[in-house]
Amino acid sequence: MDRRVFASVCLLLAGLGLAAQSSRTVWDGIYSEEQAARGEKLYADRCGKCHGDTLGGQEAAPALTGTTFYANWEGEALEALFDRMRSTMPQDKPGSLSRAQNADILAHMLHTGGFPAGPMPLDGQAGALSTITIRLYKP
Amino acid sequence: MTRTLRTSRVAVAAITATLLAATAGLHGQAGAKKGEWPTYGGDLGHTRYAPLDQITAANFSTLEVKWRFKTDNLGPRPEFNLESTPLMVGGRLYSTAGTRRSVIALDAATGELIWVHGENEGARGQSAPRQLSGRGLAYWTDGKEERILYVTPGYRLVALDARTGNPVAGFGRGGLVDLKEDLDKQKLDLVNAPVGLHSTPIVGGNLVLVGAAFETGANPRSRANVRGAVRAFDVRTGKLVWTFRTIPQPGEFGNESWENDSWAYSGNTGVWAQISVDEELGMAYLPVELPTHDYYGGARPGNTLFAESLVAVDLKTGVRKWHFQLVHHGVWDMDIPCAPILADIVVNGRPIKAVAQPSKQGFLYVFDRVTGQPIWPIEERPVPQGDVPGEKYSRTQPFPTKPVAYERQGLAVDDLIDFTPELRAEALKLIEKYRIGPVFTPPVVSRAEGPIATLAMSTQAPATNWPGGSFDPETHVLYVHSSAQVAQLGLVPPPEGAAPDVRYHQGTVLSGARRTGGSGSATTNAQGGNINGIDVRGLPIIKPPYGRINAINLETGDIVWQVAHGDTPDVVKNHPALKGLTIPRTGRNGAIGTLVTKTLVIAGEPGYGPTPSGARGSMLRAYDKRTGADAGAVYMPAPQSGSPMTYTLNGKQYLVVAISGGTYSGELVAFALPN
Repeated sequence: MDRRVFASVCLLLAGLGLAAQSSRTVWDGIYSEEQAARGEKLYADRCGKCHGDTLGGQEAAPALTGTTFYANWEGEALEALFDRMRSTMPQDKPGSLSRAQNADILAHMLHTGGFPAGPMPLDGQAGALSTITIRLYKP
Repeated sequence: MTRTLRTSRVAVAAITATLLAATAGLHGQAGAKKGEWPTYGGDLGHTRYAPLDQITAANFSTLEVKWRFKTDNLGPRPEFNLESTPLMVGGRLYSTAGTRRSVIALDAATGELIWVHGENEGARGQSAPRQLSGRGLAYWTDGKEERILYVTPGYRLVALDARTGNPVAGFGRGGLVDLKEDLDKQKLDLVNAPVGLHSTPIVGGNLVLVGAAFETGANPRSRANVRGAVRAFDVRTGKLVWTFRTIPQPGEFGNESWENDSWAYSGNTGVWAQISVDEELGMAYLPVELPTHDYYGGARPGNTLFAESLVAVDLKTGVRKWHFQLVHHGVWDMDIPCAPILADIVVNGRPIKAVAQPSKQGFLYVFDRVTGQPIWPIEERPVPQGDVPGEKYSRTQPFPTKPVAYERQGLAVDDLIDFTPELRAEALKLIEKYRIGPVFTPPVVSRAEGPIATLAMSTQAPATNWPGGSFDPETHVLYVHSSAQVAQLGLVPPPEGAAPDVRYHQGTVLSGARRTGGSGSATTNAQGGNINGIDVRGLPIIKPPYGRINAINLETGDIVWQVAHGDTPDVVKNHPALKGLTIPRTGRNGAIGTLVTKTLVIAGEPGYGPTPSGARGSMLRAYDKRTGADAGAVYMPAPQSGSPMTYTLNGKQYLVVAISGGTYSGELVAFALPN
């Protein structure tokens, strides 16, 4: 293949790949049921004390679901929410949860938020969530 | 640890010395004076009023950012919940900030850092029940010395030299008083005892008053906990002067209201909100929270004084002068959350020194602050009773006859979403398995077949929370933000590991691995997500407004105006079910503090929302204080998370507000008019 043609095809494919990636939202089955179940247990142990068992928030910590919560994160990359959790939570021991554990808890939050599960668990590796957008309503 | 930046020290010390004489005797209930902002609430009566008039409706929207101060590196990680109201005295701006609750002194004209003080409290700080930067600090001067006082996350009272940031050697031990010592004679583990404070201390009559806060009370580990108490310390020496017991012991007034000797083990009942002081009357006003367990009182039968009471004490001695219990035997988390506002008013021709208490339940309680007599009758009325095993309800609760509740309470069918008949129908279907009713409808034991919970506004999800309100001493109108949001008041058995004396925790059968044994619940649906179990296709189950600012004339008891505060969220505006409908401004819910100036009421919108430019952020809004009409707005990159304050320096009026939230870490932003 002509090198210029090859380069163009590569660029086109890369572009398509990016477009496909950047169009993913929390509605695209980005976590698994099993992962959310793991996350629910972790949440109860590490998060519920302040944020409440229903994720509804309490006096000292905000709700992690509901219109107000999602309005605040609307349009943000899921990575931003993940990073906020990873670097600042739980408040009594920030940074003590692994990336995988944070991903599990995030899966539980999404499950509670009514976003559908899919076949694959959410990947907590650095950068993996940067192409997934938080949208309260199904696009 | 204090670091002083030499470049600024000399200049600011000179300014400070010049202005020092002017700062003595600055407290009162008439708002912030002399262009300064010397206490958290502007004055010791928490009016949050300053008679400044450079910023008006005509120019508010032209405000520009004069300086910013980012707080990320004051602690080991950034903080995203900066709740401080800074102080401004003598050209310096003081605030707590950062994850370790450091204290900073800035040049109030430029934001330049003058000094910073921080305490690394190690394990004690990590185990603190109230972490992060707190709500701010207190300032004291006798005209010669100047001090900054604050409480660390680990519950130590610190006195700093306001000029240098160095701990004051003659105060406590090396500038610190350990508040876990001598807390009403309790033997506390100095590292792990779960008591702290995030409100500011208040200084009046050369005493510094400090309350106590605990872990939130929905899921207590035991019916027993540390007892809250209010203490006063000598501002010069740090010596304990008096203690007011919020849980009276045998022989003390109110002890008999703790049935079955529940006084002996019950805890909490602290004062975590701001305390107010009237130096002239020599009185302090203490807003008290619930005893242990916010939603189940089976282990604390009785009215349990001084829980959920406004208590007036003698400033010099701490002896009780009067009290009024706002809620008897509370099971709704109706802690008194904010400062009592001191207001000198004239009612029916009679001058009255009043105190007005905003509340989570949306009532404004107004008393003669000398005698404790309600200005308008507060009636004991029968309230709904519950059926939670072991609970003994109060048959009646106090209802102010005036002003009327400034926010919706409880839940009724008429409160439900009504943008379309379909949405109303879905809401009606949704609440079938819940209990609803008027204010003071109690929680239920959660059952899958129903009731899953009691749904109610103005309880745990409060009308007004810790920022409280403002009062205009010239027009005698009180301003307070309120939110309309629905809480689920359900009780479930506690998880394994809880003490056997805890019968219930807050929760529902639809939530929590400990109740259901795994993920999965009735909280999901296909479109829009039933995102917290009580939303309708992602829309709040109640109709708007979701948040508003209320103006209440304290002389007539009438609501003068109410405006929805905050532009309609995109998630509502753009909802597929609302296509083609015109949705009025809904306001937004959140903990929002107000500021009153000569002509304006000023407050930031809660949370992120639509902005005119489309940029992610939130608007700082102004209203004509007489009418509530819009009077301008300026963009902020993050929502208001502390309450705004104002001051004048070198002929220029500044507005400073703490912003943070979501992905935006804590920052102080100062606005002023263009040069």
